[in-house]
Amino acid sequence: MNYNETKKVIDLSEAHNISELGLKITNVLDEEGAENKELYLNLGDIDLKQSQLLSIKALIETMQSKLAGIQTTSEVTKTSAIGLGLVVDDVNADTRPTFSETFKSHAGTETTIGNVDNTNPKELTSFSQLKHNSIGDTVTDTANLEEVEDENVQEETEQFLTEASKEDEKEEFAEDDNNYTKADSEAVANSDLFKSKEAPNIYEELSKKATPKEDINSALDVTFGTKVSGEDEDEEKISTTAPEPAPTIEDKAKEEELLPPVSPVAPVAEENHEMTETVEKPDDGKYVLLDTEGITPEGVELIKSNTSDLPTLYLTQTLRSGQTVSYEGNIFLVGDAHPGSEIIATGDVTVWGILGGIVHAGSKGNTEAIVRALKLNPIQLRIANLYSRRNDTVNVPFVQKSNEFTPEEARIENEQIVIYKTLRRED
Amino acid sequence: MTGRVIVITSGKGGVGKTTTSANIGTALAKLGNKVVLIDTDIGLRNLDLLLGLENRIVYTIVDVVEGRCKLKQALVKDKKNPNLSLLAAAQTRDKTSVTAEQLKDICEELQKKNDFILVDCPAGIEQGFQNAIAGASEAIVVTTPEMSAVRDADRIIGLLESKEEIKSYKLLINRVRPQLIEQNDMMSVDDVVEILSCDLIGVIPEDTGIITSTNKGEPIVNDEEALAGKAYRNVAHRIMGEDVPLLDLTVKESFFDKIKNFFTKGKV
Repeated sequence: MNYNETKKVIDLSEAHNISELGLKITNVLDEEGAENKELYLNLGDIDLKQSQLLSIKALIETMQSKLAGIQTTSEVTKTSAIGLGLVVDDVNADTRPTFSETFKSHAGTETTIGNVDNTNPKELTSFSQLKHNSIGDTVTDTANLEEVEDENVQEETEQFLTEASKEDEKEEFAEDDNNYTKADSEAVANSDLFKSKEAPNIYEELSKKATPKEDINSALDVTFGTKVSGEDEDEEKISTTAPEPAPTIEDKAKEEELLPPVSPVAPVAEENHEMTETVEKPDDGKYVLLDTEGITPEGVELIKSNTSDLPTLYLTQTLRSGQTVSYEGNIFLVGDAHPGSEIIATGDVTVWGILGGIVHAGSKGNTEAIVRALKLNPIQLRIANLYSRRNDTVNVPFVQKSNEFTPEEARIENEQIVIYKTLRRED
Repeated sequence: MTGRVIVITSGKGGVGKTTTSANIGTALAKLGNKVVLIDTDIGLRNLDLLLGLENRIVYTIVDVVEGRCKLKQALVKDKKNPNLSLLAAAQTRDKTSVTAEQLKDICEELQKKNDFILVDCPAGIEQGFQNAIAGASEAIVVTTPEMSAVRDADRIIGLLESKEEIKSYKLLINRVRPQLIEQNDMMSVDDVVEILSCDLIGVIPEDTGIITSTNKGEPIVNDEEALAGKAYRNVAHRIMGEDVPLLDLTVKESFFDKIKNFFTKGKV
């Protein structure tokens, strides 16, 4: 990546939680069109875990910029940042190199630092080395660490590819997964996270092997990918001896093509063509087009745009009756959406649970938007300008909750909403 | 044409306002009237569920008052009866989203083209209630033969009397269980009427069919067999001014029941 000479300091000391942070960063970058920049964040006193910091880093990287350093008063954040090999500027330190003085003078409002001598990344790294040593000898060589990490990831990838079918440690993984979800429940995930720098080899390998279709660019896959890369990062960087948790998944996940395997490798792409099969069409199925005589919203311009470019709102909660979520981007909900709730997104809507309320994807007229759920049972399913309602024959007020789900996906085809089911393979 | 605006209210929750609205509305529509049902229980809407129209709602009363759609667009036509339509409440908002004046305007607008406008009132006597009664000229007070419901009904009647716009109000006693009345375990219809000193418009027996009909989204008046359905149809006739005698709800004890009761009476 070619970074420009420009550097940027973003003041986030007023943000109180990670979602505010994410929002603010996104806003600033959107406004400034800040691409190809090196960013320095003033994080104030907020405590960030390593995984959270990583999410922010990845978020910035998806915008073709780079997180070069942070400024913080929190010990927790500091430790996390050091673990990630970031430049940490201690506000309270008495002796401060010239660089951080520049930093300080610009702190408070976001400003562009022009013509700073340390434009060479190598020099920056050496600076950070110095810095860490002076702080407490926690990390000795960030540059080395990065190399080690890259190797590890590659190794792990290969290992995964060979061992993917073994089912030894699936339970362990399941636990890890849970932990992660909790830790990052507030993180604003970005749909392109998996392209983050941490696993470039893996991604390239994948794209050589299979031609990734847009369908698998789903937030589902992506979020999984991110999660895993995040975990691996954490472990490897804290203890360089990384015990290599052989990535495995639950039985079920293997049977169902939609569920991506653990590693960001996501062999899903290869099998993509088998993934979906038309099961129900609105004409004979669960959903019929709503009689929109006189009620179709006016002035909606239909567009076709790739939803994977949009930001994603990541939620872990049960959406209850009367609650509404609307977002300019994609929405990923881990939990059920009860009847009476509303989910409105300009991009895709993905629900890891039963979707029972009203859902509107591509609400600003994007006909490429998709609705996915473990069980699709919305009262109304709207995509762009098409409104469909649950057929009266299946208009039951509740869904039988069971452990058997076949993930479903709704999208527009030939100007009607079509629902696809993910079928289990025979073997 | 000027339609009649009737508010269906009770004060206490759970006595059957919404069920009554759905059933009387359907029954009136079946008799050939043009009927609009308005759900004013914003935030806790149920009327659409009872009518099975939940999946057809696109615009709600809040969209109408906030100018996002025309009143006509927000009216949801019933599945079976084209004479019946519903103006649904918003689920994601609260009672303050609509003012009494706005509801009054809506009622006046609907009066022009419909015979009956039934307003389903939320429980309580706060803003929701004030909104609901704003446009109405008649009221049906729903109560059950229980002391708490009767007290609340009394309070509501007091409030209705103080409202000049309400020209007449009638009492509807719901969930009556003749068997309990006979055993002196429940207030009789006469007792309730006496306490409230109010004209009666109907007595609806307790019917388990109500539960299934609610779950199915099909008002019980569509069931020709059900006793409660019959009672609601009679209420509809009375609203239209016909003189229909009250249903005979006295328990007809069969010989077998008599024997059964003979053995079980002393035990409880």
